[in-house]
Amino acid sequence: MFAPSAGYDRAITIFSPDGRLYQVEYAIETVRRGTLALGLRVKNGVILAVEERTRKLQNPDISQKIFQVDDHIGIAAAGYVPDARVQVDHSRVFAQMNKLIYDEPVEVEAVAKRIGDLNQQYTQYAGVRPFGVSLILAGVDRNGAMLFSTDPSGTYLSYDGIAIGAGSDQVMEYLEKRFNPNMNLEDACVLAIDCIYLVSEDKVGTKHIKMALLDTESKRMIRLTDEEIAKYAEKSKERLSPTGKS
Amino acid sequence: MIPEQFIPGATVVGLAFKDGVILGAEKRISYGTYVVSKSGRKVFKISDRVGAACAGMVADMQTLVREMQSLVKIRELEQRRPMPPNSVAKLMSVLLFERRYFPLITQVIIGGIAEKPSIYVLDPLGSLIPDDYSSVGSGAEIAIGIIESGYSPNMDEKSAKELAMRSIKSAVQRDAASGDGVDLLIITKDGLKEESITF
Repeated sequence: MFAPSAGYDRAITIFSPDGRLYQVEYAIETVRRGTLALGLRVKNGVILAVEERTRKLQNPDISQKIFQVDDHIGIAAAGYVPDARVQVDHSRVFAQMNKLIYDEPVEVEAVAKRIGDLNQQYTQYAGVRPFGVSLILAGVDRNGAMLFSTDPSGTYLSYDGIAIGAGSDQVMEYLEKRFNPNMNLEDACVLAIDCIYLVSEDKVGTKHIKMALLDTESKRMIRLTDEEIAKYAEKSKERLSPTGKS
Repeated sequence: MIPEQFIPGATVVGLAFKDGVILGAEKRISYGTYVVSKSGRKVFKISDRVGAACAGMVADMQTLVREMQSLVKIRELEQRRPMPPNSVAKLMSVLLFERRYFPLITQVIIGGIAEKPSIYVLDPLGSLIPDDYSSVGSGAEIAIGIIESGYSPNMDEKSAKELAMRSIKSAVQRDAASGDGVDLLIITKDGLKEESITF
């Protein structure tokens, strides 16, 4: 995979002679090995979908990878999930601080930038390791439906559709062909499930899928119930079966 | 307590009209019975569409406004949009409340325009009260009576300006700590105008 020069991938993040930060690259690799998370932005809202592997006896009711930050912002994570929890805690406090000081709901980009800044700091300070997680931030603010993604290097970018984690390259390729910004939220939900089935080992059932959506009307994050996810999964299968694997 | 010979005074008014807000204050700065300056400024621009008019200790209002101008500028650069008056007023309220136990001795009227014109009144401890019109300072009781009798939310710029001037002039007649001229700040969708009249 990598051929790091001796010493430049140990302990603190310092540049290698060829200008690379190995610890940051390893952190991004952690994300690549995490389970899939994706977000889609359409005209009247934005959705989050994740794949979560649960053991047979594990209680799947609690989503480990989709978090609510404020009424109008949700986060999906891929990579080292405990790190995501810390960043979500940080985002929640940031959102409330913004409301307390400025008397308006925080913008999604402001949270994305804040997480980006936090990630960047952990690539520069001694005695710390970078965060091993990427986040997808979905929200509705004064600019409409918004979708951002952060990575361990501190980069944050805005997207119409983004996938992170295992199989994300394949999903992004699929989305680039199938995504249409004029589709409605329901179609986006079906497309998201298409994406998960595309790369998941589980091609049946919805126990491993968790979703949340935010519409521009209510400006609230809503978690989808298992029944709703099953309904969209049914549509996904209907669509995929005639042509086989698209 | 502040010794009597250092007690400041002022007349400051603010009112929202049909398409904007108007902030006004007279120009006298006095400590007790002594007129320190006849050309003081108690009306300040905070951003391109929000202003503040203050009564109280001059050092405190200048420090507060300077800090506000900087923080608002940084916020506007970060957000890439103008800061609405409610946010500006809330930020000032936070700054004042942070100093609750060692307060800045100043009362402030903040006025600005976003979707609609709005006026906010703040006291030294950070109370934040939205209103259509208001008056603060030692001449407030006199000025507010004039505004109250002539105010209508649909008045145009000309009659709003006329009402603000009349209220300050009335206070100047009977409040010894107010006088010497009037500074006005008029904020509409078209921008921000400053006017100054000396008596």
